[in-house]
Amino acid sequence: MFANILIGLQNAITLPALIAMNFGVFFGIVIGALPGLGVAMGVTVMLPFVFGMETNVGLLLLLGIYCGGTYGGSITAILIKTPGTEAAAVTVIDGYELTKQGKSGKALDMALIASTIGGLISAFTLLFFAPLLAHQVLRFGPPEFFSLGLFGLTIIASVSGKSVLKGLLMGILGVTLSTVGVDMISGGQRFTFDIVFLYGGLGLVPSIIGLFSVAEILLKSHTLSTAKAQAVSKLDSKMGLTRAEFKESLPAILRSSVIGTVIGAIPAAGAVIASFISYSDAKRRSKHPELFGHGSLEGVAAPEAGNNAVTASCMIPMFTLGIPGSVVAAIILGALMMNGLIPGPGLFRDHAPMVYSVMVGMIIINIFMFLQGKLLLRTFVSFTKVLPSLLMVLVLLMCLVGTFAVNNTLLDLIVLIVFALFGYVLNKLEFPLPPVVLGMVLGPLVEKTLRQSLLISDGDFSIFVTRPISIVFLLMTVLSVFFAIRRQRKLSK
Amino acid sequence: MKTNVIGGVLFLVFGLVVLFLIPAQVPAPEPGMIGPRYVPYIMAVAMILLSVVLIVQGLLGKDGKVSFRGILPSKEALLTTLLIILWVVGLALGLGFIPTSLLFVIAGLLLYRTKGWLNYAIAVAFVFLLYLVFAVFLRVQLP
Repeated sequence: MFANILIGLQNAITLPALIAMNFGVFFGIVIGALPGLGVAMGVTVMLPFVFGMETNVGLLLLLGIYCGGTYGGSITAILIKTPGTEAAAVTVIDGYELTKQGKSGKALDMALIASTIGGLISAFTLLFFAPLLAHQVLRFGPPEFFSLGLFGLTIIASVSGKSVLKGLLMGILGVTLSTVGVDMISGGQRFTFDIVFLYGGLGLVPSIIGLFSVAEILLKSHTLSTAKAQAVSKLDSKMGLTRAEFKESLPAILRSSVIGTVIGAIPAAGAVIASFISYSDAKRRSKHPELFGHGSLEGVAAPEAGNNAVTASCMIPMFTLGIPGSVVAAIILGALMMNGLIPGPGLFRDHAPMVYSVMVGMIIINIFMFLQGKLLLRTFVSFTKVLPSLLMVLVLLMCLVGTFAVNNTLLDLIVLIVFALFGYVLNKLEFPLPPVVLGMVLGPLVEKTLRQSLLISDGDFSIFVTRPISIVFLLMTVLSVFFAIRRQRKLSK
Repeated sequence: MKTNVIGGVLFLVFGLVVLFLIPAQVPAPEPGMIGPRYVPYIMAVAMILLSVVLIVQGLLGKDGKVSFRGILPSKEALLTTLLIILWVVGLALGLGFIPTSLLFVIAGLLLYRTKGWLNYAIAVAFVFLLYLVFAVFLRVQLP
C-alpha cells in the first residue's frame, strides 16, 4: 500500500496535476461563493474539459471544484447571509451574526481552517480505508454486484426530494434511458430507431449538463432580468482568529470532521445532513451553547468541518463499490466510466497509480484550498459583483461548447436541449433530478450483473438470496425504502 | 391541478410508450435466454405501477398544486431555449463558432435586459477566451 501511495504522490505532483488542482479549487470556490450556481453545476460545467486530459488530472480538476465549492459556499453565507451552497445553510446562523458584530474576519478564518481540517481527515480516511474495502469487494460476484447496484439505486432515489415514489420513478426512468443503444451482451439495438447516433446510447455529458446546468438556468431565467449582483460592500478581514479561539473550537472541528467523514461514506447522506448534524452536536457539547445563534465561532466551525469532511469520504463507496455517495460523486463516476474505467476492486488492481494519485491528490487539494482561501479571499469576494444575467449567459455558452467538444457533434446538443426541457418540467413537478443520473450510471451495471447472475443460475432467482453478501444488500435495499417511506409519512403529518 | 397527478400521468404515458415500443425496438431473445428485452420490460411495468400509485396518492392526498401554465416554460425560458437552438443552427449552417457565439451572448444579455457596456465587453472577451481554450489548448475542432 505504501509503495502505491508513493507512486500516487509522484503522479499527483506533476505540473499538469498541480495546475488542475489549483484551477479546480479556484473555480470551485468562485462557483461555491456565488449564490445560485452550486457545486454540482460547477463540476458539470467542467466535465467536458476532462476528456482532453489524463484521467487522474481530469479527476483532480473535478475534485478540486468539489472541495473548493463546498468551502466557497461559506463565504457569502458569512458575509451576506446568502449561502452559496445548500451545505453552507447552517453556517449562515452564526457566521452572519459574527459579521454583524464586525468579526467577519474571524468567521471566515474559522470556516477556512475547519473546512481544511475536515477535508484532510476525510482525505486520509479515503486513502487508508478505501483500499481495504476494495480488497474485501474482490470476493463479490455478479449476484452481489446486482444487489449492491439495486441498493445504490434505491437508497439514493428514496432519500432524494420529498417523495420516495417520485425518487424511485426517476431512478427507473434513468435505468430505462440507459438501455438505449447497442446491448453489450447480445449486440442487438435497443430504442435506436435506426439512428446511428443512438447506437452508442444517450451521452452522459449532454444528459448531465442538460439536467443540472441548462435546466437550472431555464428555471432561473425569468428572474435574471431583475436580479442584481449580491456584492459584498465591505470586507473586514483584518481581525483574524486568535490561537485561543482556535483551541477552543478544535474539539468541535475534530468531532464534526469525524461525523462528516462517516456520513459521507454512507451513500446519499451528503454534505447538507453532515453540516446539520455537526452543528447540533457541537451545540449540545459546547461549553457555551447559549452563544449558538448569536455569533458562536464553534457554530461556524462545526458545519464547515462537517460538510467538507464529506468530500473525500463520499468517494469511498464510489471507488470501491461503484456506488456514488452524492450527486457530485455520481457525475465523477460518470467521468470515470466515460474514460473506460469501471469503479470497484478492479480499479485498485488494474489502475492503482491513477487511483492512488487521486486519493493523495485529495490531501493536496485541501492544502491548496487553505492557501487560496488565505491569500485570495478578496479576489473570491470580488466575483460576487458579477451580474447574475452575465454569469448565466457565460455559463450557458460554456455548457454548449463543452457538450459539443466531447464528441464533436451537434447531435449531442439536441440531447442536451431535450434533457434541459425535461429537467425544467420535472423540477416544476417536484421530481428530484439526481436519481435519473444515478439510474443512467448504475443501470448498465445492474442490468449486466442481473443477466450474468441468471445465466449462471439457469434463470433461478434464488441465486440472489442464497449468497450471504447478496442477501445483506437486498435486505438493506428493502430497509432503505421502508425507512424512507416512514420518514416521509412522519414529515407529512 | 396536483403535481402528483400530472407527474403520474406523464410517467404512465412514458411507461406505456416504452412497453409498446419494446417488441419493435428491442430484438427478441433466444428461447430460454434472459435477453435484451428483460430489463426494459421490468422498468416499463415498474414505471406504470408506480405512476398509478402516484396518481392515486395525488387524487386522495394533499400535495403541491400547480397550474398547467406553471409547468410550461416561462417566456424567458422559451426564449433561452430558442437562443440555444439558434446557436446550434448557426453552427450547423457554417456561420462559424466566433460569430455565432458573439451573437449568442449579446442576444442573451439583451434578453435578460442587462445594462452596462462592461458586461457586454466581458461577454465578448469570454467568447474569444473559450475559443482559445477549446481550439488552441484542448485542440477541439470548433465549427
